[in-house]
Amino acid sequence: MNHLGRILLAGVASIGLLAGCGERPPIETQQLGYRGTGMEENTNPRLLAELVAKNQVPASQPPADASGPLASEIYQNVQVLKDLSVGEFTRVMLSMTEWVAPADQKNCTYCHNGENYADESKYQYKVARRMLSMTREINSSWKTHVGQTGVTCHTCHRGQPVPEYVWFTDPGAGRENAFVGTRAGQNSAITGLGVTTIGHSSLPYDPYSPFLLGEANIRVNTDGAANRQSQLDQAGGVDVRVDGAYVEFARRELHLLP
Amino acid sequence: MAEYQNLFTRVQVEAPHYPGVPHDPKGVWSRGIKASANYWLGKIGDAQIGPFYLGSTGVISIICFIIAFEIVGLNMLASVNWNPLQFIKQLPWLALEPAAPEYGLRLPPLQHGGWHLMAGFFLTVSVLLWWVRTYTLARKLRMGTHTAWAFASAIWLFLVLGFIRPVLMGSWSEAVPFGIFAHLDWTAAFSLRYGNLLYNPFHALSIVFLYGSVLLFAMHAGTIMAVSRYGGEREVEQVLDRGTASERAALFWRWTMGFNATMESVHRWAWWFAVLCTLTGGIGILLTGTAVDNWYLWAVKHGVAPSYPATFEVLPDPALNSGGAQ
Repeated sequence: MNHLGRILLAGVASIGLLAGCGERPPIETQQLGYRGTGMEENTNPRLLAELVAKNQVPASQPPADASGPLASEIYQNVQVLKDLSVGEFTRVMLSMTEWVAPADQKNCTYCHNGENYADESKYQYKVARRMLSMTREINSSWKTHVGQTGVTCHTCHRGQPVPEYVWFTDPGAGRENAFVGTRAGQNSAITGLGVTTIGHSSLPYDPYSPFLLGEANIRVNTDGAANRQSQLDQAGGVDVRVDGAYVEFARRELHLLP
Repeated sequence: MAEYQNLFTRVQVEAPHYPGVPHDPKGVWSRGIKASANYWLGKIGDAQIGPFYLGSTGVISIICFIIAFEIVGLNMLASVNWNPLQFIKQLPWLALEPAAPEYGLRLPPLQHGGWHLMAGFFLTVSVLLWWVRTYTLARKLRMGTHTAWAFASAIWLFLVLGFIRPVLMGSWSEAVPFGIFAHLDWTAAFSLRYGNLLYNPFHALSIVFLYGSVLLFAMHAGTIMAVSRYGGEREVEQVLDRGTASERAALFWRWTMGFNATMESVHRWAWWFAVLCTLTGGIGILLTGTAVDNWYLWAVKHGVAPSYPATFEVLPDPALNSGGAQ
């Protein structure tokens, strides 16, 4: 084979290799920052369309009448939605089924015992009650965070019983007390948390806990050229909470945290 | 298949080992009695293996390296529950981490950074002893100690990363973890933490010398190989004659850029570029976090980098009001 043939073959082989990695074009680039700074967002319109389709807001249930007897007067064992009318209560229940229950179980018995709707034995029933408390807590006490819009079950659940992007503490994270081989909460190729939160890096695979549960300051850059870390520290441990509402709720209502 | 056009690389002479002419007084000049030869090594270098001069520094250095290597490797193996298959599978991710920040410069428990300190200690002893070895071997042969000082420049960067800077910062946690991806992630996180290391002028110098070394290496190696058909690798003995490899190589570069290095100066250039790469790199790392906290803002302050106009609405800093507090 002559030289040109070899070069051509190598070229074709390289293209074949390149095709094996990454997503299929087109990639659209949108400039977000000042020119020349490379602050751009890359999107693939094909994948973006899939993402948008997956996150369509479902049509809301028709508004319910706020008048009439309260749900807590009619139904047994209503703990959270005591101030809703029967109409409003039913509307919330129907919405929850649509927003949260899995696709093949879109009915009341995903959470309720069909024999006795006030029965607390089902796991989903207990979780749903706590989730309702949390939603009310967020919408009443955390207006600085959620504004007038507020949140609903759909904000996170998107039609799935467990939201796709969920954060939870990893009991195995942190520095174990073994004599050797502690991973210090990082350096794992196979941790489920790691795959979703840190790509395929060896970085700490529970990056949220220090900020959501602990007092860590999410800002690592200083706002001056010289040593400003001490000034930041002196600011009294100001913490930028990603989601303080959940922490506060978890601490007070669920007794999950110290 | 391309053929080497250099007689000395193409032909391998196989013969009984020749120890050289007798010499007196007996010194370090023994070419080795037990030396052997390897055909495949002869393809890329001199076919002779040995004699290997270890000495006490060499022996202790190797022992210390093995200790450090074992501490790191066994900790990695323990972190996958001593499963050899998982060890191979996850090896790029595994690491031995330095102590957590709360230990400062105190001695942490073994599993919380003590092993890391110990591995670092033995690795440092090993590297320093190997440096002593390169120095003493060169002196024994009445050579200059250029190799030792070039090696010292690399050791400087190594010590800054793992010892000097952590001490100045007051915490062993500033040290680099021992691990493949872990040290890469450390590098990325380090750059982000200190406002983009690319704005660090000593980092820039280090890159100049790194890429410069590559360029010089390619120019020099290319030149010498191009004239090896005229015996160009024999360099000095050719300088005086006309039409030699040396003269052609020099003329080639004068034709190309009007200037040429000499057979001697090109090596001086290469040595300094290589040495300055790690020397400036070490200074850059040493200043990071100790003298400069944000290299981008440092660069803006000193007119090195532009200050870009805000392209988004400037929002109130959540760290400065109580909105996000509990």
